[in-house]
Amino acid sequence: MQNKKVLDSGSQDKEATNVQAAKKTGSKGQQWKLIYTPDLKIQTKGLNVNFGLEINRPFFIVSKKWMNRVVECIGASNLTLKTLNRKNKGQQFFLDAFSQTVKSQQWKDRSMTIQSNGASTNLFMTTTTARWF
Amino acid sequence: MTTTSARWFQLFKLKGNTLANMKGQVIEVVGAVDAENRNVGVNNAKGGMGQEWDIIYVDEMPAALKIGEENKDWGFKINSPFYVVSMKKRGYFLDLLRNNMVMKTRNGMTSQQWYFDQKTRTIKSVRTKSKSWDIQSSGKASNL
Repeated sequence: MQNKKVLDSGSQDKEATNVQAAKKTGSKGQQWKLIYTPDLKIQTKGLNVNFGLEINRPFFIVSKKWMNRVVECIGASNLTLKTLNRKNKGQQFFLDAFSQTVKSQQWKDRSMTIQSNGASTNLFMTTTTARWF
Repeated sequence: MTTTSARWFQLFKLKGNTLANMKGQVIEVVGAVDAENRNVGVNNAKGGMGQEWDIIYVDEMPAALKIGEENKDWGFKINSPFYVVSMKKRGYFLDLLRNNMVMKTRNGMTSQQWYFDQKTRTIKSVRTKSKSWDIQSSGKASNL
């Protein structure tokens, strides 16, 4: 910047951290890379190596416990353990290419979410807010 | 500049047999209870089957087993009647006497025949198909 200050995100690497102009120290919080929009390609199929799941390919989440029940989204909200029903799309999920969240195959606008913005231990499906960019 | 959109509480990765987030929490069956309609939540990774999952893509889900086929995980053929015979000298057969399971001489009755029910994954009596092997007092007793 003209006043010889640089963008500084401080030492914390977390969501919603404020970015300020600060005197240059060379710290990690002051280092950035520019990615031009056309260079930022979105993977729309195949294995997302970072997430370990194939993009847009429906899957069941099968418990390793003895009955091998699966996770089912009930009423577009709660997640519970249920006996496998292959035709029930409420039991099918997929990794969404854009949000990189696990979405319901039945309610495709909903992603697996920790309730109360992560403050709860309950898991449910709600509208997607996550955007990896 | 725009409103923040990335939220850690919606991001889960497949790590081994767990679905984990960046805070080290994993998806789990609450209380590790393997029961229908049991709630699914998140908790710190502690290990154990209640926090372990297989991701099976829908097009790779094995076909449902048919009658007579072996459920290799459980070691039984589905809906195929069998006897349970003691390896002791007299070779008694396991028998259903009212609600109790006892040793009896082979008698050809269906009360001595059992089968593995795939739906409930329990061993049922051929004579009384509504009944499954059960440890008395919800598992607290030693009686069957």
